[in-house]
Amino acid sequence: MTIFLPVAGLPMNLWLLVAAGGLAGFLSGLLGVGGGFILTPLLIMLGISPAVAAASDTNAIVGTSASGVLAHLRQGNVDFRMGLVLLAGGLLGGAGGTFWVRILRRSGNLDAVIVFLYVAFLGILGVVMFVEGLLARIRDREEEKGTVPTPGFLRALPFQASFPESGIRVSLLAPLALGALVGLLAAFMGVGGGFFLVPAMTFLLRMPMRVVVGTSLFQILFTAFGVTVLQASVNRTVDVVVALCLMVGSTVGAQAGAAVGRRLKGTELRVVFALLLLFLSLKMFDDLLTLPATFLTQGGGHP
Amino acid sequence: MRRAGLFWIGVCLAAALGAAARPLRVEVRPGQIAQGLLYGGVRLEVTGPAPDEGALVVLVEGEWRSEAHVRLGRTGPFWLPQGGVPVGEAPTLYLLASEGDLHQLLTGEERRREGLGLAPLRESLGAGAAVAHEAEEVLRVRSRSGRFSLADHGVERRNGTFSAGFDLPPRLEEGILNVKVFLCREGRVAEKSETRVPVRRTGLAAFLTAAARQAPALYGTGAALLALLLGAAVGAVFPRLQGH
Repeated sequence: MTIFLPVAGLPMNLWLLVAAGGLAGFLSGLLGVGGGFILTPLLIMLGISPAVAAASDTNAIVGTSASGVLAHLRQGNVDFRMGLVLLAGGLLGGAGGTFWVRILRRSGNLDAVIVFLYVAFLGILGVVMFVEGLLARIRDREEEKGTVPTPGFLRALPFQASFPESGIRVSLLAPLALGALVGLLAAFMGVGGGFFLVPAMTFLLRMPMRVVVGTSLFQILFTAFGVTVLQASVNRTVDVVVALCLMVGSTVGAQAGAAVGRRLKGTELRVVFALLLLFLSLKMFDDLLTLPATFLTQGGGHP
Repeated sequence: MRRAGLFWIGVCLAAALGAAARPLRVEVRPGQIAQGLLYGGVRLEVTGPAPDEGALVVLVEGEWRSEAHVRLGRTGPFWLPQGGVPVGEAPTLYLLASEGDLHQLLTGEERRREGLGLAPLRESLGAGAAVAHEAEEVLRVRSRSGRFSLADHGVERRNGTFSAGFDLPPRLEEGILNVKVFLCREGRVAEKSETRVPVRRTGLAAFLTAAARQAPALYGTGAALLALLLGAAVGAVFPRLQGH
């Protein structure tokens, strides 16, 4: 069955789109990582332009993170004060990123920038997941000891504030900067940024794991909401049909992934997945080095 | 007797003149292309009674305009964009089919006058290009995306009718496609016919396209709210779903 994507401007197999969302959801349910960083390259491979792929992926993230936030709200696992500071940074970063996307798109450099960012982040994520077992053990030991102070350089920064829900005192600049980076990632790559935010909140801000996932999802939800509105307004690249198809797939995929994950050993799966990410990163890097089939690409000059 | 002879000579002359002046009859299907939410691409069929003499050339042509292109060059070890390439105007879509070798059917001057074949496109594109080979590169890029093709034996004759089929590229822009049919005799265009095929979005696809273009902020807010509500509904139905 074929469906026409009105903003992307091309017809596509409906089940292929749903399956792409399903794969991302499956990985999310299986490994506990977001699938956004897999979805944008998948959409590009299916023929959707990088700008529309990233923006529509961000739109889908609103839906997938909303269900997670709801679950964490019920359990009281959201630090709203920290979430709002992160969100302020996220909206600033998202706004800056959206306008930056516009400039790069006009100059015809956006595709190359997106590929470079994916090479870097897939590589980093692969390495991080590879050593995650070790990091998890350190985190567990620190939680056993009780409250661990934030790193010295964060205590030296101005605008120190208390976050009673998380039981930490930290400069407002730290969560603002983290949020801004997540906003930039959402605008450029169409990713939620959980893979980066969760370790940063755990190891840098020293937030307890109990509130880390719920608070990061809260920030991701509203940053993705803001970036979706901005991408639609400034770049006109949000395809709601793509987003809805991805959401349907990821909902089913996440349930299936969670069911499979309960039966398999997480550590081994993560190692295999980390190797897959490193392979993807190297493949994209190799593409940048390979002689192109044509020396011209169509682009630039679009609104 | 003499009068009757003159009468029959007149009838024969009229019939001959009528046959010569018989307009080229062309049918294009579909007559318009509606891009609804279930649109999955289209094959354009051009048919009609085959003329007794001469050969046919069929052209499906999009609107003429200049499109932005970016040159790829080496920066260190990487192949990266290195600035825009100024090229002249060309049709957004150019699919040509003929009954034989276009160069044998029409003289160079006639092809240029009617805008048929590679040479007129090269000239138009090259008018804005800084380097001649960049016009060639533009044609190669369009050929890869299915927006440019030349088929020397793409028009078929069978049982007194001619037909030419064109698979239009998936990424088809809204606007007008001009379907031109040329009857070629002795190196010149003896007759031609032109049919306009509108490409329009319809139904929900038209509504979403119009909203995304004319009220982008409202469209973006609506898209985000819809995702938020659907996600929340899913979270309520499947409480175990963590969504991260």
